[in-house]
Amino acid sequence: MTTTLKRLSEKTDHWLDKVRERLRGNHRESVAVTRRDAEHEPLADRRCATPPVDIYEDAGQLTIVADVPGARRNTIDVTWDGDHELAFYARATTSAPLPGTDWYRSFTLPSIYDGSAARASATKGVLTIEVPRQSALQPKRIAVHAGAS
Amino acid sequence: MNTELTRREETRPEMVQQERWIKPACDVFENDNEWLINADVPGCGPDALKLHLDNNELTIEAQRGEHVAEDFAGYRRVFTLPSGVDGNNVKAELNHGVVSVHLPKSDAIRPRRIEVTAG
Repeated sequence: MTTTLKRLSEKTDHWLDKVRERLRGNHRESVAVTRRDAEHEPLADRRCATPPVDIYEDAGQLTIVADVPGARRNTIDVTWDGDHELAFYARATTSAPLPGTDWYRSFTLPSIYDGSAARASATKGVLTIEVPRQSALQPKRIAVHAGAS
Repeated sequence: MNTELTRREETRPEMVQQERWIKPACDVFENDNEWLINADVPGCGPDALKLHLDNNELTIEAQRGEHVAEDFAGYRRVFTLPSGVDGNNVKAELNHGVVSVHLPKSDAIRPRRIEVTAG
């Protein structure tokens, strides 16, 4: 029992280190995200919220649809950390009289998906991210040959 | 003539369509000249947006095209406005899934400076 708890606490510490490292912006391919979910850390003048998402999965790809009203294409940062984490930060554009809500959400993707090949588009305040499977893991059709007669 | 009442078994109970309207998140602001309501309606284009002002009730209704649940009818919110809205000059714009409704105050209720004349 104690070994399991010890292993669990080591895993949690390791995970916390990774989160701290990411927040300090030490990861190669990620943009430093300096804000966290407003539930835990409300900000002085900008509100940051977790947007609702729909996630669809089909044979070839994962599709994430996030409601980020107020954000436009060039105020959205979608990042892949090179490992398993896909995240986006969408800055509000409605400026007057108060800044609107910023949106942040991150996802840990299963290994079968290739986050570096993700494509993102935004329209009408909805962000759509499509993540294909690793090329080696794409579903394939297998030909049926004639058997020995 | 058979006047006996017989019980018919329900073979196909009627399905009642549940229509779900969701209240969009809104921010309401006020200054000396107008009220401003910003409503979050992601995924809704200008064609799918309906704004209706009746007496002092403002209705904001919008429908999404893609990625909707079966029973989701759209976004809908009704505001009861204070009297003094200049109904003829209400303006609205839709940007990136946020509809901003400007409700100007009529002259009668705008704050004004009162001149003091020497008595």
